Amino acid sequence: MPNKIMRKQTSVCRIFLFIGTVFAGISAPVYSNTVVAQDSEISAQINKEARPETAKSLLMKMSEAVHKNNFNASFAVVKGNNMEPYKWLHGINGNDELEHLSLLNGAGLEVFRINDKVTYFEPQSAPYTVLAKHISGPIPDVLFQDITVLEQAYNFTLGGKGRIAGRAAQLVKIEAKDESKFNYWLWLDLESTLLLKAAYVNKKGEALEQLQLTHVSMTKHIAPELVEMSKKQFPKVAAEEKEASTGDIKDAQGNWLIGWLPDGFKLLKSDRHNLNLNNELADYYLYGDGLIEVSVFVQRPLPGKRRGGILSSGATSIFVHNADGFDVSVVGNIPGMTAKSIAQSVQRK
Amino acid sequence: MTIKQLTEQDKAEISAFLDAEEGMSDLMAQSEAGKTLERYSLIGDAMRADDKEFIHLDIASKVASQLEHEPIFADFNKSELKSEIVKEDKVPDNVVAFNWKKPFSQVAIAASVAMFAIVGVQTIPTDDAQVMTESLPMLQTVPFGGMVTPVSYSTEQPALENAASGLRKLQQQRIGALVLEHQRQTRIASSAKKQQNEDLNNHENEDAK
Repeated sequence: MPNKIMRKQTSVCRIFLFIGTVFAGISAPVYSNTVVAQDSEISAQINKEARPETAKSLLMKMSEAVHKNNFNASFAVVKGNNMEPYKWLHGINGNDELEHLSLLNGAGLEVFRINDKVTYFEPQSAPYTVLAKHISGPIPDVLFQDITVLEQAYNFTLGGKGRIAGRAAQLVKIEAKDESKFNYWLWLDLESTLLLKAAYVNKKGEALEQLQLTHVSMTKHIAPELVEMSKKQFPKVAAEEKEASTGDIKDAQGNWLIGWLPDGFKLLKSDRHNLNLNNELADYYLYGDGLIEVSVFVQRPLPGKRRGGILSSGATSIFVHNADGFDVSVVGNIPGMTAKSIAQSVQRK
Repeated sequence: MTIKQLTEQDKAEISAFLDAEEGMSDLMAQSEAGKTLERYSLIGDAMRADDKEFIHLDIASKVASQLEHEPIFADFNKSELKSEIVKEDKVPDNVVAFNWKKPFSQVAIAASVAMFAIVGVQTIPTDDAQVMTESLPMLQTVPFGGMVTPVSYSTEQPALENAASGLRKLQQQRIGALVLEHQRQTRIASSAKKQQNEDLNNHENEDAK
């Protein structure tokens, strides 16, 4: 009898050990991704110039720094009580610029960029590639290119210095010239001018959506994962997207008159198409002011009496307006009042 | 004998055995009782926590089997299969994910976007909402993908089953689709925008000359 017990115990232990090994085997590669290559960390180039930096020159330096360095960063986007952690890798491999942005929670989002081809992998749709020089993600992509286009609608001002993610940081404010848009604040590393923190801020100075780097390391060599990833096969750029990048932008429908938009917004796209997700037909207008984009959808009304209203998450506002015989929905990183004004200004031509 | 047939008394015996309060009975020596034994020994391990090596989570085997079906993101041939599996994984702990995908096969959840479940339209905005939105009518929402969501969804379940829920779902689906479409169009447009900026710059350069 005691022998029997012993045997039983050992076999149970064996099962556990086996499960334990499997579990450890699974988790090991996952964790190794987050291990920081401390030894390869090098100190960033120190900007020591006699001339004091202006907000604009700092922003321009940042867009340069983001392109020229090999770095490995983690950041979190906080929207209200919801937080999304991301991993961000960038590197130069010969003549190729490689970038990988990965959402680490939930079903996830993976974005790869090889030079001017950006591929999005999402759970709800087939992967697709677009021609773009930047990943369109939680950081407005204009910050990685020519910020002078923002001067029409925004002012650049310097804020105070502080300590962000363990580094000395300079606050740079991109402030809207009127109250119809949010301000965008950035905290830049004083040494490398890399982005350390960013936030959409309303006119009262309250941060609505924040992005905070939790770790950044500049490395001498490109991360091996990036090189490995660039060898994979990605979907081809879709034909319609090629057209979108070269074709003239026209009001494809001419059915609707959008009566009001904040200053600085230009029409980027207009067409009638079925929504990717629920196949519902919509007349679609996309406007942008360089920093942010606003979508206007005009659709058949839903059955029954529904009140319109505002919905917001972080800086994103969605306003649904039930007009006479059609529904207008406005989506974008704009204040709710602005979304409401845009939606209510839409009229039948 | 199957596990289901184990009586409470049997379970108590197993528990007592693992806590070394009692010797092993014949019943427990039978291999069919192994799973129950495993569970109780896990509880014991966790309670004692004396040797961390020996705390073996029961989910280990589940994780292993799920990983076998894990979507391979770079494998384009299997994109359809991938979305199927993602949806399946969502079902047990997320009521709204289920509601969403019911009428449309392509609907899955992107945690990357702000998505909402509209629980109802507030007719009288509370003071808080009024302050926040400057008296805009507020759609009462539950943000998608937060840690608290499974709980909130389950408490809202009876409400969602009432007559108005169909319409609500429609609006919810529509708003979710709009948010995703906005995101998608923004991505596609970044190439168009680039083009525009270049044109603008060229224009300005010409002016300068």
